[in-house]
Amino acid sequence: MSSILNTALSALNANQRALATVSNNIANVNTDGYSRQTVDMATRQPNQFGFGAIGTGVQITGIRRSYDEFVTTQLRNNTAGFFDQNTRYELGSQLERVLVDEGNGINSAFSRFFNSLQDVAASPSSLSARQVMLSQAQALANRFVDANAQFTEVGNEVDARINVAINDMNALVQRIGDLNEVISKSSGQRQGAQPNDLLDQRDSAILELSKLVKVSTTQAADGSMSVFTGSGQPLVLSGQINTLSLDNNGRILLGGVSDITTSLSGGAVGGLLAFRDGTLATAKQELSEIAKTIADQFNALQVGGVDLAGANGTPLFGYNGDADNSTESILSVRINDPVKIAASQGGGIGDNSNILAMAALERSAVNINGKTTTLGDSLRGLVGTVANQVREARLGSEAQNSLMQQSLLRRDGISGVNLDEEAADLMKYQQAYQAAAQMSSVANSIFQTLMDAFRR
Amino acid sequence: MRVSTSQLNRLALNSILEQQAKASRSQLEISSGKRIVTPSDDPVGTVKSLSMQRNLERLSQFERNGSLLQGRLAEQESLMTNGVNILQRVREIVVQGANASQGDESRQLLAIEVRQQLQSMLQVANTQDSEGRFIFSGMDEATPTVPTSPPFSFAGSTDVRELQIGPSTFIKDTVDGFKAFGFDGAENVFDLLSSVATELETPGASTVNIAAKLTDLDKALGSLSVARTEIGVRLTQIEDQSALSSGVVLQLQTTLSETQDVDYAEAITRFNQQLLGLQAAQQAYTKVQGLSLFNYL
Repeated sequence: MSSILNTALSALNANQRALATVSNNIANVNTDGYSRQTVDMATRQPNQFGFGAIGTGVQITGIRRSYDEFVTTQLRNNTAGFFDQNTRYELGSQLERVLVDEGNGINSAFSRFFNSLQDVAASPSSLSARQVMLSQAQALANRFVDANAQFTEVGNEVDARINVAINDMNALVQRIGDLNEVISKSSGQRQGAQPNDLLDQRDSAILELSKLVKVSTTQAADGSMSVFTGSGQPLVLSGQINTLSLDNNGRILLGGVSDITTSLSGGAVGGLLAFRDGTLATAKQELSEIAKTIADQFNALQVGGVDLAGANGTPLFGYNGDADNSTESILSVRINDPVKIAASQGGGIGDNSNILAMAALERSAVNINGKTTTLGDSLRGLVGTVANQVREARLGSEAQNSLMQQSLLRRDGISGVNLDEEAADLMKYQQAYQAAAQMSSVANSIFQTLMDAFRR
Repeated sequence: MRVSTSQLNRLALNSILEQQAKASRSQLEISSGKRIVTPSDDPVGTVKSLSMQRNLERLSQFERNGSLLQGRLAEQESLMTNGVNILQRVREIVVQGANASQGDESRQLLAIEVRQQLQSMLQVANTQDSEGRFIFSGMDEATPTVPTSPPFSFAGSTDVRELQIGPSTFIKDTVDGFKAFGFDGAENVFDLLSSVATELETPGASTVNIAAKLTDLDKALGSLSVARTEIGVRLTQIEDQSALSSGVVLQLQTTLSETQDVDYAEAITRFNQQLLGLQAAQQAYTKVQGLSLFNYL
């Protein structure tokens, strides 16, 4: 009888815990990173008799979380891929907006400037035509300065974001290290019993870290997890962590010493670095190279020509790094007297041959960054190059997003809570509990029957 | 396959978000009228559009140059006509003066008129444009073309500037005063008129000598006419170029519009389909949300 009662009690216990697990699953149906938990039950040690063995009830052997290593790794990688591309796309869009031309961008200013040359060519001795040309030259220079300043601004934002991201990474690395310690201790204390919720928390932290940088992991026997950057730099080695820092040159240091900038890839940080050192750096360099070429080409003709007063021409444009270091800005106009435009090649005040030569510069071949192009094509090409990279990033971001969503769905499929399933489990365990309770009442009444027999 | 509740939610929500994003993109295209809203929508198309826009602006500048040139050349054409008229009048005077019935006194009167015509011819040669530039002085446009008293020498420049009126078409801005007024020949038109007057003023001038001036006058007339014809040729060139350019402009505008502008019929149809898709996704979401085993517990 006591064995009946004990068996019933074991069932009450086991099913109550199963119900508690169901309740926990329901409670966490919307918790990010929560893995559904299930109770594993097994029979207890049976009582051996001469005629055979009688079972002694049920015991809980473990509480498992529904988890798939492969899917989790895939989700991390796809998350890193998405945040990488999406960051490039976001920043690229900002860069692209600088170059969008709706009648007030560089290309429009370029067009108006070259048209103003034609007006000087039509009336070389007209001061008003010359004044307009100088104003248009100034407007063109201003557009270059604006664009350059906005590039710099985007660059500053990138640096600020890298800074924030590094702080976030350090916090996550710290958290993963802390969780490692707790997990290895708890695994040690309770042999084999998994600290499911801590494991979920650590997975969530690693997933968060993957949003910032692509990582790989290896798990040790004590349950602690080591985390490495994509190229194998250790961020977490069991309980030991390495913090990241940003030096004055924008490089990322591991543990304050080794430069791991180039070995970080994927995630927002990978995207930020790729954008900063790729798209943005290239665009900035190309813009200043175009400015320099415009200045050099015009100045060569200016210096070889004759101005309205009959004097030899002087440079029209200045740029940062030009021969006499006249200017700090990317492009500037160095003449403010319209008389000094060297429209002539010495044929008189009505000579427009030099200004015609300048007008022809728009389509003459120049070498910019080792490529043969024209001034007009190079400016349009700059827009095209940036646009292309933004487009690639957008397509990449869309592709990675759908991969990430698929991984999320697969993870949800394995680890997510299904309320209908929990409802079914709820009924299942509730019925088992009710039956076990009934069983104990049967045991009780059997016992009563026996007691009553003695009493008589 | 096992499906979790959050997975169902995510799927339904994702499809709503996706449809919303698509519809919002179409809406942006419809409201802006542009197929290319940002350069990355179509990098190749963007570069092509920028190039076409520049081409259009360049062509309109050439068009402007052309009409400026037309005005200038038309003025010069009428000046050349004035010159021709002057010479024709002088020719009549010479014919009259070569008549043996004319006496010294009446020839004197004819000479006075010839000297007046010489002044007119000088005025023609030294014509200034609205900005005070001497039209026939070539690139030396600040210098009067011919001094107003003898000796008559060409003080301008024989270099004539060109204006660009097409991608590869350059047209000379003025006629060459040196040639038009006969400075390239034995006697320029001013010296000629001066010598005609002197001949008429000569007491007892020989009619043969006077009549001999007719040949020189015809030569001078020839120079002016050639200059006038040259202007006419240039004006025709400008018109031809203008016709050519407007064809190119139309072509460019059409291609530009095809490249960057939205096809409204297509965009609106697409937008409607996307809204339908969005509605379907929303309905699916609410339907799925309503289903739960807990409703029956």
